[in-house]
Amino acid sequence: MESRKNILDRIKQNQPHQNFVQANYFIHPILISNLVEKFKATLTAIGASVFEIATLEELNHFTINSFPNCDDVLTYIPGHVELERKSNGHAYQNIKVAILKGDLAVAENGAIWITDKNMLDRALPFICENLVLVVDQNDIVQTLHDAYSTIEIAEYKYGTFIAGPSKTADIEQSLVLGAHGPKTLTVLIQKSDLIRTDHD
Amino acid sequence: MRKTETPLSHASLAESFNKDEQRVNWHDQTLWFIREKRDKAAWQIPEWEQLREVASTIKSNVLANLHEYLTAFEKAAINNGAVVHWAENAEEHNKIVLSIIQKHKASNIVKSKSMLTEECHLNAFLAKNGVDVVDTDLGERIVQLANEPPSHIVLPCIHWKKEEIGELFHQHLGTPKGNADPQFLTGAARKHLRTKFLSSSVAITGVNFAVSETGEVVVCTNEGNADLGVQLADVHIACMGIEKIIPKRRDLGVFLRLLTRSATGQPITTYSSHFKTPRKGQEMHIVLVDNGRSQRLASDDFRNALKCIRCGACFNTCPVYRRSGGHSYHTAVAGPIGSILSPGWDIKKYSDLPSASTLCGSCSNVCPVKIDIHDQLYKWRQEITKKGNSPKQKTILMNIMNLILSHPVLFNLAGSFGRKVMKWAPSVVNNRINPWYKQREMPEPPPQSFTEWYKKNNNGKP
Repeated sequence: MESRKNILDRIKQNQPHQNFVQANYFIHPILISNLVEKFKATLTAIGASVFEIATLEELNHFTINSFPNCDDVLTYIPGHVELERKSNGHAYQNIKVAILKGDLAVAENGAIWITDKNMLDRALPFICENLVLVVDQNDIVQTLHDAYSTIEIAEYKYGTFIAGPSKTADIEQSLVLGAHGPKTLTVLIQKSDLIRTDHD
Repeated sequence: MRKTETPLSHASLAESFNKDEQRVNWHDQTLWFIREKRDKAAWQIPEWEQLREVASTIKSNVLANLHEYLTAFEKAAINNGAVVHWAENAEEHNKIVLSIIQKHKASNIVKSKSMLTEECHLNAFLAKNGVDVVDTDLGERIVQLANEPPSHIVLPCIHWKKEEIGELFHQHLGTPKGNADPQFLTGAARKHLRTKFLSSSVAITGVNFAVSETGEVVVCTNEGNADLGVQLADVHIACMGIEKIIPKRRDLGVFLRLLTRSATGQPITTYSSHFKTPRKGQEMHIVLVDNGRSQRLASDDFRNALKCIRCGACFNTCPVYRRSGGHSYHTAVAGPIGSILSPGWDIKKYSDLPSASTLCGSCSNVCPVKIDIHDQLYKWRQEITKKGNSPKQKTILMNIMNLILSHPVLFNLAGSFGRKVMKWAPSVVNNRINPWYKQREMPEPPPQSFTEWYKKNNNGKP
């Protein structure tokens, strides 16, 4: 407790007394005309694969086609496919494919925001060998600023942006996909809402 | 190799790094390649300069109100269920971390990248106390196995060749001798480290940003090692310098757009994780470390160095860093930013670092938070001389120069003497004792001085 007091006292004494007001900024990025196309191009550039699906029912076809003869597939999409959480993250160490739902996606950098509510277990998006994230087309935004205008008022305990498969270039700058986390990331852009509006 | 009795100097360490010219060229080109990737990424953002300006302004506001932001952060973090610790210095930080580990009777722990723990020499301290700490970032694991500190804050083993890493893994991880394929070696490290992740009950991480308003900490990695460690462990210890605070979540939009583009040219790291509330049954500790930062806050000249977000852009662009290597800086944070941070920790030990620069200003130009790095390098040189920490030889020479330059008669005499010596006995200056002669030819002496020429051509009129 003494250290806390010493540090805070010193800071109070030493911090500059000029009036540096809190930055009230508004950044105007160039608007991206085709969000889905930009998002797909960015994802491809960072080593992810992208597909479009019309409905969540297509998930099964996708899984069978993309990961044939694979038993350890786990799908958890709240409101669609529910599952019981196992006792701890270690229990998921042999999962080959995890299919989860992203909350939000950013076109400029290919990052997908996912929070603990959609992870089943917080370790799952990292310990599985292949990660599949489903993103609603309407949840794609332009830049990180747009993403944070949603995230800043969101309730979560743990949340992360995921942009591509885990990777490293620590050995002579050679890019290797699959460092400690998933070796692949597949993003499924769900266009169901679009189809609904087409029928309207 | 290194003599401990003589103080380490950047110049002598750089000299030994430069013995292998091909290797220096390779090191130089590799880092320049990363600098170019940064440029390409930055140029795709038309509002890049506005982002840098806003980021710098946000940090100015943080430094001017650090007391308020820190206490608000503490309150929010405790409310989230974290335990907040305060450490005055490296020693106290290390003791706090050890006590948490001992409380949980853990002896094997994993750690993701944290320059703060490097600054505090945590690994050595934990090892001395019987704790086996494994660095899980691939580059950090490589230098850890080699018993070396990282040579770059973002690319810890940028100075290693893949063949050498192959040999290192052969010795430590039992990979086949002679295999130097990056894909294969990364796979071997993945297997080796997966067992460590699965068996560690305590995970240490660094912190990239700490949000005052919500009490959450944000950690950025490409490998996913921070998350994998934390989510499999019972205890998460996040170690951070007190300057890592930012006011609001929305400010992350600015900093995360700048950070990785500046660091590696990627649009964002693979993972940008926001740790707010620990899992049910998990403990989360946040260690706030001062270690000289609150002192620096008082200095108008050097305060801005606290804005640093540790992207490493100034390393990659620096012509001196690229050609001298990270270890020649003999400090945890090398490169231009390390050269202005380190003298603040120990002005005697690091008095050589502000001179490890050409003052070209490239570091300041790429800095995403607009730190005036090259101005601070120059100011540190003055500070070091004022405090009597410049090398003796240099001080004596400077005093002689001062004497000569302030006495016109002496100046003219010395000039004429110098021209004669260089003309008739060049070996007096063209030798290894004269540092200017190193890698340079001395100039041809002019036949006369400017004053002599002027007198002759202007008939002696002023």
